Amino acid sequence: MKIKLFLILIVLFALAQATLMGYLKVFGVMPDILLAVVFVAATSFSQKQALFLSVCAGMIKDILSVYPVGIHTFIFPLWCFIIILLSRRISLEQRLFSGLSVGVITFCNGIITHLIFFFDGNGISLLVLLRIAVIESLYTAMILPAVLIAAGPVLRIHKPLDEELKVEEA
Amino acid sequence: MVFYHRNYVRNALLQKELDAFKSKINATVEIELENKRLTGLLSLKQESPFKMVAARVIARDPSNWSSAIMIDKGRSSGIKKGYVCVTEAGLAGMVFEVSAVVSKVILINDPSLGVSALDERSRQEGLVSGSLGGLLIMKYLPKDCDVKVNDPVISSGLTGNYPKGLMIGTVVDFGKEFVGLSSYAVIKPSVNLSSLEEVLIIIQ
Repeated sequence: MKIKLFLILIVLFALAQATLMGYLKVFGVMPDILLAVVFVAATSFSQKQALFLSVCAGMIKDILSVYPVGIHTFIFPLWCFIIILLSRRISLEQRLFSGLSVGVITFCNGIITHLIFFFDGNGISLLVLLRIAVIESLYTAMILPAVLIAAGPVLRIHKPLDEELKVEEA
Repeated sequence: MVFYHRNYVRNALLQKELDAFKSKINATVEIELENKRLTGLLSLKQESPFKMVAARVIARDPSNWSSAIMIDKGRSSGIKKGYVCVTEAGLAGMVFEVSAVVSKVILINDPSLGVSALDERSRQEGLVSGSLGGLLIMKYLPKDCDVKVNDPVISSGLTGNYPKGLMIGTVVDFGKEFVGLSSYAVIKPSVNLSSLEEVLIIIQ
């Protein structure tokens, strides 16, 4: 139930990213809500579920964008896995650490995405690259609390007690 | 004090009415603006020798690393991959992906799109491509070419389906490449790419 609702939430966030975010650009740059959603999934679901959700988020982003097929479908689960590993070492419940890690991951995601574009023959100037990567990472880190609030009602859903007991028994 | 409740209720009713009128005015202004835009597109459609299909922009590229829009017309309206997207102000982009009812249009400020262009005054040819910012770059100009600021730049008709003479923008800056073998011109696109709402696709 929880995972299904989160999938619906991912679709809604993807639609918001493709429609509303165009109006909220700062210096021509918008935040990557789907990457923030991947972070939320990685910190709130089990490893398998989080990887599945990040693949879905990546696929939806690839469908909506003009990237070479499958960049995000492959790269989002990678970030998800890194966040899971990171969450075992540092406490990502703290706002500062969560924002910082989302910022760093968004920056790296931007650089890797651009490198793929660059080797595809579509390079942009270094200043434009840095402007987009830095502003995007800051903006995504800033929007993370809003994503957490929006996803809150879904994340607070718990399995019924008898189901949990069955799982434990199994 | 005696009429407090009556006035309170009346005030609430009037406030509601005012809100309704405000939203009506907003809707009317929106319709008026849309009417203006559509009139411009219609006049272009009537004057142009090409057969065109009008489409609405329904979404934008969700990432910052490319520039594209999604329109509400697809294969069922006769749109095919490679068709040119224009507005009344000039060239906007090229159809990149088509499905039955929607299409993706890659805009001219995307670095992956290159259009053969012509300086209208000096007839100098170059390749216009995007830089993900608000401006375009015209590359591969000879180092001693006669390109000046405010020169209009149009499509040369040498690439793909782009017809000759489509307005691309005006030159705002001109300089020499770092190596010194060629020059480049910075172009301000004639179409406001960040606020596209309706476009035309040239289908014939």
